[in-house]
Amino acid sequence: MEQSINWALIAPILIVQLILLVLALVDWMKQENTRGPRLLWLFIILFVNILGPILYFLFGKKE
Amino acid sequence: MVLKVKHVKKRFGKQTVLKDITFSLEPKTCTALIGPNGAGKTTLLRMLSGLLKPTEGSIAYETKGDFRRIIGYLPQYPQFYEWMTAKEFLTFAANIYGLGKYETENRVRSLLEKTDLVDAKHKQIRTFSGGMKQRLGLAQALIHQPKILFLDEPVASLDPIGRRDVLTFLKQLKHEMTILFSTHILNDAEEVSDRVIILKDGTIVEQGALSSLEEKYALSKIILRMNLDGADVIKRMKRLPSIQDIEKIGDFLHLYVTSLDDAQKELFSFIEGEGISLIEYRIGRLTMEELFVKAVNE
Amino acid sequence: MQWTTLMKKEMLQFWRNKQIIWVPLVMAILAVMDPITYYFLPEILELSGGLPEGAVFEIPELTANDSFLLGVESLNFMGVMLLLLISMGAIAAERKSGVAEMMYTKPIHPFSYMMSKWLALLIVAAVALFTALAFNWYYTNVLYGELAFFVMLKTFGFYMVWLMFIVAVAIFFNAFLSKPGLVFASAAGVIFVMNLIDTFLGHKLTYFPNRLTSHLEEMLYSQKVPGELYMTAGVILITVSVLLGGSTVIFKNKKI
Repeated sequence: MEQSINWALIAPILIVQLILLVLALVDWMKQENTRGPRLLWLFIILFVNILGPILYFLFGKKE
Repeated sequence: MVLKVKHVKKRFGKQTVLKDITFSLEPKTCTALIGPNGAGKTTLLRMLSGLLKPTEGSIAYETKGDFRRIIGYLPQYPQFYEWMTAKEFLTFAANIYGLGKYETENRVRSLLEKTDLVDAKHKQIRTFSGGMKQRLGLAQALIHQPKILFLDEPVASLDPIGRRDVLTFLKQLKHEMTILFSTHILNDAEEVSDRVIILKDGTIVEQGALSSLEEKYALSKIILRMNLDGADVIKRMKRLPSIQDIEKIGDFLHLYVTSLDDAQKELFSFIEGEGISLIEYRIGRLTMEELFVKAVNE
Repeated sequence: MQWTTLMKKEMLQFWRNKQIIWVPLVMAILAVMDPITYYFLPEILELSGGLPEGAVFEIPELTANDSFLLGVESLNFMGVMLLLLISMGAIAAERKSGVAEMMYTKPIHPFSYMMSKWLALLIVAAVALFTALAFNWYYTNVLYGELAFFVMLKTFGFYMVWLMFIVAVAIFFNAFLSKPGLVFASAAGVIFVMNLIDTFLGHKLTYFPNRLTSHLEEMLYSQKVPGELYMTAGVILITVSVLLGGSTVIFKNKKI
């Protein structure tokens, strides 16, 4: 198995993931009240890979 | 007449919310729409502002164009696009009405000042308190300088200071436009309106100028205190032809009389005859509340 | 112009809530998940304990076309659902929150209003679809061999027609419902039923909207645009106009 990291493969996904994470965090900081505990959403955004920020955008905010 | 409402009915399914509503509004008058909760006030205002269609009857505005250009409407619980700032929302509203760039800027600035929102103009509306939202709601209803302003319970959700501000503002506005506002607080109606429409169970039970309603309900009141006010005296007093009813409140007697002149004559000769002496005597006014209870109960 | 005012407001909203950024990114992830997983399937199987001793498991080789289609197909379900999720509140949420009561007493032209909602969502959809297909194209090239960029562009063009339809269905239910959840359920229901029809009767209904993906497939393999694809796109565009016209009429009579 190849040991060197195939950047052409991983870099785009990593970048997307990073943008989503930053976007969600910035929005989380501005949001005064979320649906459900605010701190819980921080953990979801930070620790649930890829899906965390998406879940936050879809369900975390009160409209 | 800026607005004529004729035989308007509104049914939701089988429930009839408004039955046969007929009234009209004169230019630059302020009319209070009073009635207990569930009387149909909000439904009526929503029909007048075009949100609902009447089941029967007609609503006619004095305009050749789209009536929505000459009305302003403030809902009971004004809601906005929360992600906009106050200034953005007012500008957006002005653009909807097609106001020019210069006019928009002027209107937005002057309304932010009048509603005391200058300091908050760049804040997102989601951070606003109820009172601020109410004031912003008033500002957006006025952005296009409407001829008629409809307000649904404009002060019900406000604290005493907010309420005072809005009522003062309305008093100024009524010299510029026709106002129809609903309320269940009678003092507010009495304070700013010239006319009232009393709504109960979907029917107008009474309407007219405040002064003419007072006359109609024999609405003079004499308040007095005497050295003798036993039950027998009151009973004899009640037989006087001009006296409709007597209520004893504390040490005072409240006399509801049909004609003030006649009543005073009868009363003085009665007092002289009985040998009673008066401690206090004044002519009172019926409060809005008493008027309202009388109208609704009849 | 009122029309520009409405349009600007919609776009500002999608910028403020960052939908115009995160929806495309999520779509991109959705579109490349399958091609990547498929590529690493042997390694994944090995990591998860491997196959029993002696078992032979043949994974068929994918061509570039196959991989690209795999990505497009995953948009068919998840992508469409995501699009419905962001469209479900277009008007229904305004009724639910009460903004409707304030806004709809203003002289807004119902057709302008419907169009601003539809078009704004469509712009988000277009950005999302383009990002997703570009990602898909990139990964297909890296993992499975060359695929012409122009093929990706053609796919984008025709698939947008399908998304116009999806958003129009959502707008149609928005015209009279006041609960976003109900809009979502109704629109998803309609699309689900249409998928069923496509599965069972599709071979007979050549120009049925859902056939679009099958015709796209044909386009990829045959290297030219089949006539059926144009016809189906035409049928969809007519349906979209009917839906938007209908929404306008309904909305005009049902404000709150």
